[in-house]
Amino acid sequence: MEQNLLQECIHCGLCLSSCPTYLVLGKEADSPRGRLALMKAIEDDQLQGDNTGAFAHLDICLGCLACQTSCPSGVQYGHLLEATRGYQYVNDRQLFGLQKPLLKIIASPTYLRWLSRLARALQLIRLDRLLIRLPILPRPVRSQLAGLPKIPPQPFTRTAPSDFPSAAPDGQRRGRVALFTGCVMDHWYGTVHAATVRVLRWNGYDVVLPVDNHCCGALHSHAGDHDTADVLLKNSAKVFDQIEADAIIINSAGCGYQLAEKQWHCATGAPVIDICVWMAANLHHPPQTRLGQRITYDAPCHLFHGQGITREPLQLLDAACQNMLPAPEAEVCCGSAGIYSITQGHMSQQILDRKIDNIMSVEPRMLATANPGCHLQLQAGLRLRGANVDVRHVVEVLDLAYQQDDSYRRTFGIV
Amino acid sequence: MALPAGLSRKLGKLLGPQWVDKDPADLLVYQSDGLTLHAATPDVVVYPETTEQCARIIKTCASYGAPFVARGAGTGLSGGAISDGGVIIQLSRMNRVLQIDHRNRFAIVQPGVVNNYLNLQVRPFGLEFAPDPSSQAACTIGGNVAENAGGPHTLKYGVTSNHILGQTVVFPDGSIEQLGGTFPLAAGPDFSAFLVGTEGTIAITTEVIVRLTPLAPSVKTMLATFPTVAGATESVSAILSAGVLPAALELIDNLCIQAVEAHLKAGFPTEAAAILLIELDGEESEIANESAPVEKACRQNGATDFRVAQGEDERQQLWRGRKHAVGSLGKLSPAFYTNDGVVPRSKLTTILSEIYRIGSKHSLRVANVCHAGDGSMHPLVLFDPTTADGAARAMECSEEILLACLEIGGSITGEHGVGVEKRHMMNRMFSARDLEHMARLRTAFNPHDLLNPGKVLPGGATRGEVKAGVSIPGGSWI
Ligand SMILES: Cc1cc2nc3c(=O)[nH]c(=O)nc-3n(C[C@H](O)[C@H](O)[C@H](O)COP(=O)(O)OP(=O)(O)OC[C@H]3O[C@@H](n4cnc5c(N)ncnc54)[C@H](O)[C@@H]3O)c2cc1C
Ligand code: SF4
Ligand code: SF4
Repeated sequence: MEQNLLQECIHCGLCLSSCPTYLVLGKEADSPRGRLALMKAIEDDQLQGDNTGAFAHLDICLGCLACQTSCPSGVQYGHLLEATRGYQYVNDRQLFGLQKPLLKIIASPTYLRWLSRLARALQLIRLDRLLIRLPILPRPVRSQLAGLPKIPPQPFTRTAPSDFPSAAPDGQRRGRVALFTGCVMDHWYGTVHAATVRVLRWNGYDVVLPVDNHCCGALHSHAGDHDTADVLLKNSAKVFDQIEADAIIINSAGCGYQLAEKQWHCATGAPVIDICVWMAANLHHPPQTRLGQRITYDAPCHLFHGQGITREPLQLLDAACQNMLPAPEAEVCCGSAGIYSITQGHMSQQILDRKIDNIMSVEPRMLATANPGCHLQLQAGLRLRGANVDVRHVVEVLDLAYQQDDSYRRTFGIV
Repeated sequence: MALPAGLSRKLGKLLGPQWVDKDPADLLVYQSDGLTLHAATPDVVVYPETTEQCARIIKTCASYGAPFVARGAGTGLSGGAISDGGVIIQLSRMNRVLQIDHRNRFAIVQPGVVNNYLNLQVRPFGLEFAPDPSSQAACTIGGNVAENAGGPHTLKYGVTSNHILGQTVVFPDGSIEQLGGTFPLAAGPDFSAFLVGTEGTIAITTEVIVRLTPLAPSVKTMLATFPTVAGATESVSAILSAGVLPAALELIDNLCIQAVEAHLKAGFPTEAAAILLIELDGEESEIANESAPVEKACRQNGATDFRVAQGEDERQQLWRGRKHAVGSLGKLSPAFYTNDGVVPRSKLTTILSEIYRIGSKHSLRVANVCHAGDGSMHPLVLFDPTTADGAARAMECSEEILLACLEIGGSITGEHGVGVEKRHMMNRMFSARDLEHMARLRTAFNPHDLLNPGKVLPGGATRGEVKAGVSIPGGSWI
């Protein structure tokens, strides 16, 4: 692995209190500094050939990158973690048993559709509601069911036209953008895509949807399955090669991080820009009335720590809401971390509990985030707690603020 | 050193097996604290949650004759929180703020509460816990008490000992005592104060009553740029002689500025030989009166630029640069050794030129950040750890620097403590008689030398010699 990158850690410990697993367990081996020492121990074979103990601590790392934000020495923890996990993957260590099948499902549009149909069937007969309350089911499983959004019959891109004209109230057209529709976002969070498209059009942009855009391989990279990730990245670039657009807009923080980190680009060279960043810079028609509900924001790690996008979501929420309430530890991971919530369910739930305590301390009615994994996890935590708090993507909150305006609703046929 | 059979099983019964670590991977990470040049591996690490559990752990260890050491966040810079064999009592789970009394301005906290976390909790009441070590994002109140930590704002607000009203402690025999109280006027000697700064060698602190200080109504942060280091150091004396007591008065030299700007971009002028970061706080009118003399003192000593931070963002950016200055050095050098000396303020100019001279004699670069107002120095010796004698040369150079501090009437440690690192230099600073008194005092409370053995005092009853340079994880620094 990358020795020199490991050397950059000066062992100061300033990262400790930003690490969610350390906050919950208080163990050095479950802190960033401890994990870096373990990576080095694996590298230097300090553990007499038995690295299982060390891997156990690396497995429960969320990859949330909070340690990167707090590190004064600029240690590239994310890089090192992926490299170590790649090493695990190649060495065919049976990571968590569940991980490989899950990654397969996500990588394939067909499998993901079947999974979605199954979930939808459960929801239609309301079996999910029953299962959520079944104490014999392990909590991580109940949590997944509780967090699922209402699964639509079809992925968003199957039902939507591929080209939307701008629809600004002043009639001015300001440009043309493409939407990175992705996998889980497209299959489960079509409502977020719909809101994204409306908000972009209202602010003067034509929106193009790609054909056959699927997974970017973010979850595969984080798990160390670099070969699959490379294929997925290449495939998703091809999809955009023929599309002329000023920018490719992305509304999933995890995917945005993946594309930035892997220096992904398509033939046209159009930049990939997170919807929050794009809208904060291009809010040509801010909502005329702001929402009155109490709302708080939970920063997705791959937005805040991974891409350093910290202010833009708050600027948009300020434009959309009167009652923004900062909750404590808003930039600490919620425990979702891709498929971690399934593969490391127990730890994930402990981290989620702390998160929900912090959120509920400001008693919000709505919670904004900007990533599908966080969306699901936070909604799950709130539902299991019996809290009536609606989780929304930042761009959905903006859309809701616009919807208070008749002409916006009329333009987009919202009843 | 092998642990007495049965001890870890007993500890497991006490705490639950998941809170007793004894596997090689779990122990390896406790090899060092913030100082990686010293490493030692414990036999067991335990994670108590309450004072009572601490007392029972200690009684159990004592009955087996096993040594034990308290550990907070392990950000210490003198090897204080390491243990060669024996038991580390890791206090990170004792992280609750038990009470905040904003009217009477105190809080009762468990020792594993992180300094910053406490401040976040009390800030809504317009209060703060004043000691602000640069490590405050991670270090614990227990560690601050044990090391008597200071920080940039120590100049005006004093070190940790000025802010501790009382403690609950467990002595090495397992007895629990409450010392001090929630108000400062208790009769008799202040035994709690005596324990502050004893580096965890006399008792383990399990609860702390801290004094809370009202936040200053307004703050102004200034940055003065100097073409010479002497200009900056002379300004320090000039500011203080003008009757101004800044909240903070920090000096950062060119090499540190380069590191910060390479990594963080705090807005420090890269061409400066040194800068002063000056913070005034208090009533607005008071600050207004003090600004002019500060600027005048700097200008008279050759400041080429004098800038006032505009707005909270810029102010935070400057402080981020200062607080991360040491960490940023990782960008200039794969390893460096942080020293911690103190000199009388009037000797700042002399010591800095002496430090640069010693550095060039050893052909090593030395960077400096100082709490200049206090004469508290942090010379950072940059070195190459991959050469055979890199670390040894850096240590030699550092030792010479510290002796130079002693020679002009200073001390070999200001904030970071003695730990294992500076034990061997204690006899340069204290007479044999002084050291004997210290040893007797420690023995009175710690008769079998089971609590944090081998720390602070030279030679003496040391169990398990700490080996220097064993498997250094990552770069190295104090
Ligand atoms: C980047 C950086 C900057 C720093 N800046 C400063 C600074 O500006 N000013 C400063 O003073 N220090 C500074 N330090 C040093 C260090 O952070 C402080 O000494 C801090 O107080 C240590 O706290 P800790 O919780 O990490 O203690 P640890 O390192 O865990 O322990 C330090 C010592 O205290 C003992 N101890 C810990 N908890 C207890 C307890 N509850 N009861 C009894 N003994 C205990 C340990 O046995 C050990 O001997 C800095 C360190 C770093 C890495
Ligand atoms: S990535 Fe997150 S969980 Fe992993 S070590 Fe860093 S802060 Fe901790
Ligand atoms: S803050 Fe950075 S340098 Fe310090 S211990 Fe953590 S990773 Fe290492």
